[in-house]
Amino acid sequence: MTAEQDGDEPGAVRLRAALARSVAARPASPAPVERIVAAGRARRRRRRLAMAATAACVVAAAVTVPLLRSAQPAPSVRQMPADGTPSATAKPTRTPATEPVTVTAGHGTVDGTAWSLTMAYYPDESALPADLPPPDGVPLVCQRPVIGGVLVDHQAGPWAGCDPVGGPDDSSFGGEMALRGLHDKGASGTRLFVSNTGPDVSYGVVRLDDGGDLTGHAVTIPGTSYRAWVVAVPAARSIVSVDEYDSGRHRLSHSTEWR
Amino acid sequence: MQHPRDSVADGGPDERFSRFVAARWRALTHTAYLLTGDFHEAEDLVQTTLARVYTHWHRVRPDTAEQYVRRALVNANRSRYRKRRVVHLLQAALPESLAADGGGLGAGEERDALIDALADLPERQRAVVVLRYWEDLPAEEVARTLGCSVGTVKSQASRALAKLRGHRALVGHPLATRLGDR
Repeated sequence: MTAEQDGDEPGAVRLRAALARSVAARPASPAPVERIVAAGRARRRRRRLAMAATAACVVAAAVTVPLLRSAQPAPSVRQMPADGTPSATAKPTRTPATEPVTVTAGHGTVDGTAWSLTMAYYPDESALPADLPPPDGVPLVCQRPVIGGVLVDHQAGPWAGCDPVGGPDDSSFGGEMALRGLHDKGASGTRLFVSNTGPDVSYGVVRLDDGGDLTGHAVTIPGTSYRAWVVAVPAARSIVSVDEYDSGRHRLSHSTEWR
Repeated sequence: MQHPRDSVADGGPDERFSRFVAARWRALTHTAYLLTGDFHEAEDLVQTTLARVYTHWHRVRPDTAEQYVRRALVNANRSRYRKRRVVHLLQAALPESLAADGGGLGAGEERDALIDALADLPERQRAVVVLRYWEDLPAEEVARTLGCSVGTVKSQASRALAKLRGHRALVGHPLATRLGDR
């Protein structure tokens, strides 16, 4: 523990000492290095098998889809959601192993201002922009909320909103809901409510204090397990509840701590 | 791909990883304990995180390995927290308070009271407290780890300390008073 630093909150030194006392009573077990390496190797084997299976599916799709297209009329235009909530448009822009995969999780207009949430997956270093300083590591999952043309938290640098992950299906990532805004840490002004969901969630509903509901449909970054849904909360409104549902419209969660 | 710093003498990524685990296990477990409030869960969390990190360790730059693993640990805990959110909310509603015993908290009780108080912080505020005041990271590094702005880190730290000061588990406890001192 170091001495109190400039700008620290009052009592920080005391808190540091108390935290040290808390962990001091808990001597750690010997490091299970061999067990961790064995688990890591097993996980790597599973990932390689999964990737091989995925590659086989891609090859099969590459062969099958042109055959089906040649046998069918042109596909119908994708319908917009009936409830008028934000549209979610998947536009994968992937070329082999060198481009990030991007998708627009939602976009629209609120309070007369355009907003959007873009998600991106950078599979390896070659997918990173050459003109930016490197992030802590790759693969990387990024979320870029934009309100009125301004990237939320842009002050934190080019990799704000990005998290290193273990691959395209790292189950340790996600599971967090957040309010993102340009003012007062997302507590006021026009805000985006973002939920990083698991595979079971199909859509989410945010109920506002005027009784109105906002519905966001979960969107997946193509080729990954990373999903999110988003809605835009008007400046004058606060949140009463947040519910998530599966594709069968069964409610999976109910939160009331958001405002 | 072998990293330039993985010389033959280093034994390659596997040996570098093993050395990292052996050297950092204790510190990571302590950090995880403050994040989870349960020592067995903390050890499980660190093991799971390190096993995941192992699969792409060869891509992790040695000079950022510490930050990388710390970030992976926080992310893994975030996922754990979400899954157990209902349990956390129920625990927070229990009328259990160490202060209700009539005071006289000893050192061991202070430890439990502090862990209880940390458990009632929102996940991000708790992570800020642990990274800022236990790991002793500068606000900029905490911001990078959590993927937020420096201003968010400072405001979250301020709010977290305010909550700890007024937490029921620390009512009447010297720590609550001390948190108000410099």
